[in-house]
Amino acid sequence: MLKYLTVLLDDTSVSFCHYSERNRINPITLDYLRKAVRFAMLENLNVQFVWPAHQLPEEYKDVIASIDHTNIAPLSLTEDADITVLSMTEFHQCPDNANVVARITLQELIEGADILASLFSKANRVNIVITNPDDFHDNDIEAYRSALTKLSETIYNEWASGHDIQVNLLTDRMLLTEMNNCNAGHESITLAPDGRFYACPAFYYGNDKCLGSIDEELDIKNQQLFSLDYSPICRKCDAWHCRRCVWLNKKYTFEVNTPGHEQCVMSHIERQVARELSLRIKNLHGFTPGEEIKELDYLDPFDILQK
Amino acid sequence: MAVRMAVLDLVAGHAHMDAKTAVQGHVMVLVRGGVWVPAKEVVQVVAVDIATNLTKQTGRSWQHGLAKNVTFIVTKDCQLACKYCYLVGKNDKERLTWEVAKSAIDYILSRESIFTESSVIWDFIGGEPFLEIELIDRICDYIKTEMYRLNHHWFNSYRFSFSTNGINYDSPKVQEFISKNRQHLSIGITIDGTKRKHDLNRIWKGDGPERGSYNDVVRNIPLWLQQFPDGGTKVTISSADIAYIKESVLHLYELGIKEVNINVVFEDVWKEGDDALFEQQLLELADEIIDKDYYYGHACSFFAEYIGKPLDSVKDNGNWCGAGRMLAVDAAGNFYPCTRFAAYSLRDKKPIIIGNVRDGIDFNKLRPFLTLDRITQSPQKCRECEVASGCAWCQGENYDAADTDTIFQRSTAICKMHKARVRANNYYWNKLFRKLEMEGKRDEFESNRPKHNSPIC
Repeated sequence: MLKYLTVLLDDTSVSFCHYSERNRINPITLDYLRKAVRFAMLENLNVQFVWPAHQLPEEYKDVIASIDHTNIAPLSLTEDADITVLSMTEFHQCPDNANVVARITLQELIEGADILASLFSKANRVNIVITNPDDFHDNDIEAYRSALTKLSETIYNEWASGHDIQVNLLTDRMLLTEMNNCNAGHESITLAPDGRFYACPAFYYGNDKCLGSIDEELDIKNQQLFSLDYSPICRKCDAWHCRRCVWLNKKYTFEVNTPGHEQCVMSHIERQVARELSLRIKNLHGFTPGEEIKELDYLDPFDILQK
Repeated sequence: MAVRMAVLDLVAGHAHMDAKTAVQGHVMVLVRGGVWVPAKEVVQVVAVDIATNLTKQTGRSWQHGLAKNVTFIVTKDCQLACKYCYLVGKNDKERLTWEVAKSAIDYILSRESIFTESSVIWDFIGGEPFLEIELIDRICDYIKTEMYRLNHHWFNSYRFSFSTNGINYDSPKVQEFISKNRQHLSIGITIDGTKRKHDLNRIWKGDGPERGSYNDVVRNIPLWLQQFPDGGTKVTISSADIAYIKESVLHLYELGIKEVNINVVFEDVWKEGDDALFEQQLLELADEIIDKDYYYGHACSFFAEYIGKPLDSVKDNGNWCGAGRMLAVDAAGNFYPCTRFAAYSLRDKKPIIIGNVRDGIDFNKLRPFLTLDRITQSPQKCRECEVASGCAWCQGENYDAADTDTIFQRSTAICKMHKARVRANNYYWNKLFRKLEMEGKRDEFESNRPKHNSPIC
């Protein structure tokens, strides 16, 4: 069941995930924006507006203000942002107590985990987004594990000092009791500046097929395939924090419901490090946050299904 | 020939020994015995002959479920233009080259850790595969030699498989190939039944008046049955020829074909009333098979005891289709999970290419195929269906007919036809078992029950 509507206010709206936004300014029309707000009210959806760095006309702001919403914005608009998106060069400007998306390449994460860790003392929550997941291969497993272990050390120290920082890759799994994925296409839908619906912004920027338009109707054919129950690999998996990115699924395997090997392996490395962190925090606090994370002897649940 | 006979004699006496060990040992004996043959030639001759003769496999469904199926799309050309053919992109341009075929073989045989199946079926498909018999012969020789040279685990367990329209079956080149590889061959000739049924769909390609191909095929049936007495044929039923089912199956029996694998096309071609006509034909066929005692020595895949039962959502959740466990290669050197995902097979969708002979298989592209199950792809009516067993699907047709670019949406175009088949099937078994019991022959039948192949993919 749909719960969220993400509205891209411009083609240059800041990317908060794996995809890249466009460079040329192309704002959503005021008409589409009004229709989006009305659609969200009628369908009882929570709205997230994704902002570009440039200013939008005042009449846009009036329409946006007419509905309860969340703002995802670049650092330049952080004062009005519920979630601030930071690139690596902006990490040092992280606002205090903010909920941030930290976009970083795999190489930057592996080689510069310390820079990322510097965010943890300032923010309340950090969503780490690797901007080039395509570059991950099996020979990066140990380097990725090592980088995450470094981050977990900083998280542990923050928790020890009383600052319970949340970091999506490592603390979410500790706190969850069931799958909590992106759910694009199943629980959330994106309206792009062209007035068309997409499962998420990445499908729009990737020139994929739309799922209907705001002028006609939302038309998600085979919508069940976006849900967990219709994913033979994911429904057996307990890397509950995994983004389960349907855009990456489509890119890697041609199917939105089937994750590629790399996404599974990365999530299971995160799960492993989260497990070790949860055991340390158990010693620190005397209790385990969430449920105990079981030890696994595989990194890709596909391998288990094939046995 | 001396080498060949000696090797075969030796191997026959060493059944416990793997073929290559026996061959290597024997080559040494030959040399010690003064029969001089240049080393490379020995290896080549021995490899080909041993592979051809050593591992004779019998049984109708050879290594079912244990064998890797590798399909070479040798040509997209065919002499015929069958009206129900799913190959929408046939042409005479895309012919497999030796270089591409060799690259594919080299890739596959050098990766035993990936291709772990205990056996292999090297399948040759078209168009009409025998149009490329010289290339096929070269490919098969190379496969045998390489399997020997690499001491490959498939060396003892392989087959070459063909489904042909039968038109040039008696040509010298095809016959020479058959003679050379006879004991490792599965060849099926497609003949649809009576002349009027066959000629309704299986017509010659080209302009001008429609010309059926029955006479050109049926003349080769005796030769084929002489060489492959257990050969089965594949019959395809579309809307226009339902009325000829009974006469066609009986005609094939009369021709000497004991196994008739028959299926309705998966495409959405069925008209109102087709299911009733289909059921009527099957009922009449059932009466004929039972009344004339054909059930002892003949099989027709329409009648199978296992069909028409409810399926458990957990225990019976396997995928029907083998797409993804097969590997097909075309003239461009692209790999497909099955030939049905190549461009020439698809009406509305782009091909699903899972790699190529240069870069190998992209295993991420195989993951959906290898994790696909019945429940995930089935609509609610199929999940709850009380006669679900035996209801088939083709993954390629599912993909082609799906609302989105997915293999996870099952086409239900044959739903009414399956239900009609189930009713006729129930009738068949009820009538047959009653007759056998009345005659006191049930036990005899059970112990000699004819087997038939798994339903055709």
